[in-house]
Amino acid sequence: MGLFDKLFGKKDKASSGGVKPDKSLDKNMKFMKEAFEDCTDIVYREFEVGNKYKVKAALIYTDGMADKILLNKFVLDSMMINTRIADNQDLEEHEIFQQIKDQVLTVSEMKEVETLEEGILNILSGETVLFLDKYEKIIIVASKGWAARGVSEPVTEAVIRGPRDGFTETFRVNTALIRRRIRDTRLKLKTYQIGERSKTDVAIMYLEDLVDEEVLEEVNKRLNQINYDAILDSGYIEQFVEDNWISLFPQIQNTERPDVAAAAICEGKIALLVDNSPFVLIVPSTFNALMQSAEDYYERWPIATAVRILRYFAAFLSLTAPSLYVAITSFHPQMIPADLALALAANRQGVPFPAIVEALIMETTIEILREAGVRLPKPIGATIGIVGGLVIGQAAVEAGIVGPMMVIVVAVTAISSFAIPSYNVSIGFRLLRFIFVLSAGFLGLYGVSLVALILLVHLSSLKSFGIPYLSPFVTIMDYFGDMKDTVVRAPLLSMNNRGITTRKGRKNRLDDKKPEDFGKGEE
Amino acid sequence: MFQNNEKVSPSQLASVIILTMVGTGILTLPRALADEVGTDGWLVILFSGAISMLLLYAMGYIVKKLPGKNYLEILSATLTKPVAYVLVFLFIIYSIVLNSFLIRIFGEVIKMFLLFYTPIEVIMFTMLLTSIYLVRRGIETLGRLAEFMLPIVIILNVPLFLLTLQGTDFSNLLPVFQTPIKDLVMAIPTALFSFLGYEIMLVFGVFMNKPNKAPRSGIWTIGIVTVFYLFLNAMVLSRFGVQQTTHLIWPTLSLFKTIEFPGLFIENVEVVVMTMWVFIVFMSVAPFYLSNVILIANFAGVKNHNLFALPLLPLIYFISLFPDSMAATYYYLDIIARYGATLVVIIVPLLVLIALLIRLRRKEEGNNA
Amino acid sequence: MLKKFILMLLIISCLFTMSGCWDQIEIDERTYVASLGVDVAPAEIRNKSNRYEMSYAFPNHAGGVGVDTEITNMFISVVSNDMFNAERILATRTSKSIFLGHLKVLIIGEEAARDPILLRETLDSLERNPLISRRVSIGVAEGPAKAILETEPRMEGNVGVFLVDTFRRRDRTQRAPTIDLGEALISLHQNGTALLPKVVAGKDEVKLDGSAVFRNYQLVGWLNGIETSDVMMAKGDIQFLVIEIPHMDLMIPYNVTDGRSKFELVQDNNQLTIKINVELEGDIQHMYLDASEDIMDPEYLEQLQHHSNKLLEESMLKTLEKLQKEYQADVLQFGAFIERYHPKVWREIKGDWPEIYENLTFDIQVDSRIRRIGLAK
Repeated sequence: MGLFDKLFGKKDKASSGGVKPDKSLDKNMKFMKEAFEDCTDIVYREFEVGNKYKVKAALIYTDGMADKILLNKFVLDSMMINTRIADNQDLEEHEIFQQIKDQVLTVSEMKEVETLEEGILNILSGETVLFLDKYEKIIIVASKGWAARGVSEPVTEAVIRGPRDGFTETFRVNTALIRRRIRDTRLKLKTYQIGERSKTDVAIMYLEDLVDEEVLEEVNKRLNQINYDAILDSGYIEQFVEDNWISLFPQIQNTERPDVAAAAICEGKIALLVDNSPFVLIVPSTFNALMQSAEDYYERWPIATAVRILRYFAAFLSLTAPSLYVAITSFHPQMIPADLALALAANRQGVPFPAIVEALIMETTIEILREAGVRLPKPIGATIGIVGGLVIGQAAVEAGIVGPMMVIVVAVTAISSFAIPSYNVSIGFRLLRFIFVLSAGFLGLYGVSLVALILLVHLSSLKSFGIPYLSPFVTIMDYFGDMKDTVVRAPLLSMNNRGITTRKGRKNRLDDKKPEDFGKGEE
Repeated sequence: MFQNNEKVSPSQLASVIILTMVGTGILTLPRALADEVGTDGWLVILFSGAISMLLLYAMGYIVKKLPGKNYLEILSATLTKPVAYVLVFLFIIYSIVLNSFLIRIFGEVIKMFLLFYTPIEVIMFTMLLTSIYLVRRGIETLGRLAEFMLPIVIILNVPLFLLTLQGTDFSNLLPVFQTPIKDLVMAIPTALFSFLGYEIMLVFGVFMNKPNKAPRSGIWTIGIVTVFYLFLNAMVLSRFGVQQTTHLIWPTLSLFKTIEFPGLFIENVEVVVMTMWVFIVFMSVAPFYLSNVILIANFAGVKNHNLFALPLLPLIYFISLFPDSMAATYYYLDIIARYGATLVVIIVPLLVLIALLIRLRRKEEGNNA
Repeated sequence: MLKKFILMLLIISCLFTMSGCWDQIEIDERTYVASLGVDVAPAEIRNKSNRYEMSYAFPNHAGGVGVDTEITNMFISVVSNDMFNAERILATRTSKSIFLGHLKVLIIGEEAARDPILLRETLDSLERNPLISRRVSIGVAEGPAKAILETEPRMEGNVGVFLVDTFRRRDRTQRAPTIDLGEALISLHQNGTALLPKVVAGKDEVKLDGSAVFRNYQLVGWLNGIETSDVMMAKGDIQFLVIEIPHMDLMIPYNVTDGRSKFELVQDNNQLTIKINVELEGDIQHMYLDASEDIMDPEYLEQLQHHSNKLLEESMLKTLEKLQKEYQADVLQFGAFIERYHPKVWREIKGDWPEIYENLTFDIQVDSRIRRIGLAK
């Protein structure tokens, strides 16, 4: 076990420190086999290369993560057969290693590492390690290749018009999807490995001339501070780096859509890609950004504006509709027309509960339905919808437990909450809705406005990486141009302002063409 | 972590001050003016607006010349330390009492219009708790909230005022220029106290990120409020006429009771107006509260002002329960406004300004010599 | 952080648990009073603490789970000392909470209207009450208000709804003034006068015709329908009015659709004259089939207009003089007019305005214009 302590006991800093490979292949193999003791998914393949010197060699890789066809065809085939055919009789023994690297291995990506620990990490990441006897370095053959989900349509952010490719679980595919959209040398990609055990690849992508250095530094700092055993999804990263962990509101946007990520990068934001997660994080993020959909930019602007107004209205409804109903019916019936009040009263006649209890019952029911619908397999999920709809819509009213108006209110609320583009915002709203209903039952509209005030105070106190969460609404005078991309969506032609998240002096989209900027990061 | 830098932009501070001012004066101004000068109230508003503008400009100038100094430091730098402590103490008492009465009136109005059977204590207590939540978040949050709220309040108010237009008789605004000058001058204090709230400029000036712009933002702050008051006064008068206006305790609220909203979900808008008014009062109570807490922290030499937020609550609460009735509340409020505000809003800033100018002059002479 | 969070949670939950929901009354537990009648208590039980008889009319909704709710009309009257007390007494007689937030119509009985203290008390309590809208329609009954609220109009089961619709309808002729509580209050605050619509009860119908003249906060007399429309014309508040123009031996209906009026003050020595210019617009409704007169002829129309002017001027003058001499009520607010536009004159005559008003002369000029004549020539 002493060996394991040596390997994993200390925090290894990849290249610095660690065990150097021995000259003897056998010793190295022994080391590796001890390290991978009881790991039956590791494959060792020992063979000989060449005629004259007969160099002993060994391949080690993880079964299932390495591309076996590639290994067979371009590593083993080349080294075991082609070296014999080749004319290399006059080589000195020490030259043979160079020969193998330069002329034998017909793979496109290959590198050398100096320590065994690095070799192990590479094996676990799906690469193949090649040991050569009497050679003191380890050759890594890029052989990552496993069964992965292909690029498919993003489920959570469907659009009618717009690209249909979505991020996948594979890190490289994701970076490529963004790179494909921004072919600029200034698009930088920095990689971190986070998680003491999971060693998850996390990358930040940004345009180096647009990103706000302070934010970049902050992201870097917060990522380096993460100390956790395994990062299994970008949701982990989100919770480790966000500003306020008590808040109900997500301060980091997540997206499955590469076009959204690319657009954010073009505004000077930073995209955080996490291996094994199809959700890319975008920082800094504002409430306004969470209320937008990619499609807003692909449709003509008057339509997009109308849709956005509708969306904000839906958000308002989904937050307050039941509480307003409770407040008006139980506290302030003078607000609504006399005829309506009378109709509501006649409707509710005989309902045994006060409106607040009625609202809570219905809201809870619909939340249970929603949760059940999400977790169940798809075919059964539909049944749940029908059964639930029947229970809520008809039976409850006929049994006299709730009034028919309440059913309408709850249905409108539920539908409205689905009109919010960001799922994580709409869950927050759902929870808040209950607080609103309680306060309405306690103090009527006054209670509702108090809770609304507390909510507004909370939202204005939030910041995402130094950017006020409610911007540009709270920085109207300082960043008036940003208002063009809020509740309204101005024509693209007039939206030449990149917004508050961009570095000072680089806010204008039209200034980028200057050739002297090329390759320069800073001016 | 660059969490909170405790800075506000000039426009944010201006929004805070506008909302603070409107919250104190909006309810009773038209009645008070109709009582004293009839239809010539607009002249008084203009005069008092101009005076307030000068005063706020002076305060802005002080902030600009002494950037990064809090109220206590400004006073001690110009008027010596012992005087400064006394004046700050008076300011604290003044604004605590003013705040208490604001809360009391708020409670009375809510009880009158929305919650008839709910104890006023509950109404006031919940409002104070909400204010504390904001106070603990600090000036930065307040600034952002104000800048967020101001446009919304304006946008929501425009259609409401448009709705009151039907059935107004603009001949009610006549006659003009019929009040003797003496009466007009006597009425100026009344209107001046509807502008109260801008004294917090000196307290919050230290948090400004661009103190250079303080005087200029002061001008349009008062400008907006003056226009709003003129408009409000005209609307109330043209709707009710002088005689009716003098018979209404809160003519502004009664104005909205006359709105007809046919064929819509909402029949009586006054409930909606009251809801909006909760927001406006909050934006006037919270800044006062925050300035109190900050001043007390300065006074005690403590850095973290949050310590004082909660302990201040019972004090404000009990002072606000002190007057027996609505009438008594307005009586005491009038006294506080007349004496306290004269000292805090007019005399102290002018003294500071004079001392500052003398100091600057001396410095200049020193440089020249 | 967590401790504070828990503390806040405790405070909030205390608020919730220690308190009731004071104002919470479910919508189906309220009674929405639609119309209110104010009368003097019947003579046999009238005394110091029983001065009023308040009548409440409201739709009642009753039913139960799964049963179709039935809405019926209820009428209850209560004798009490004041309006608020009446509400309390009423509460002891209903299963639901009384709610005045949807009050639409206020009817004042004739006897109550003639008592200045009773009327002022009633109106003041209405003005003070934050629930009662200033848009409540107000009318004065000929006889007791109770009788009005008790009728069940044939067209609309609910007398409250019937009255509201009648009061508010725009195409109603101005034979009774259109005025709501707010406007009545403004007028009364101004100089103690008002012109309120008169409501007359029939067997199974209610009609608005004529108006009640108030001076010094009390009813001093009535104007009939034609007289009321004259006053409304002088006010320039005309939306729909038919005038029969006598011409030769015909009566030609002239339908006034719009009216404006303008006052002018003429000072002649010590005599003050108010000049009233009224402009009317409207159309001719009918002549007769195959008429011998050419109505397309502008000259003919001019003749008609002239007849109409004369007719209206005479009748308006008579009505205004009636208001002036018989009732001494400055319903048209000439005082306020002089105060606004001629403040200097007003300052001199302010003190003895009542006498001056009585001696005021009127110069009425009507300009009625016939804009349209329908489809036939």
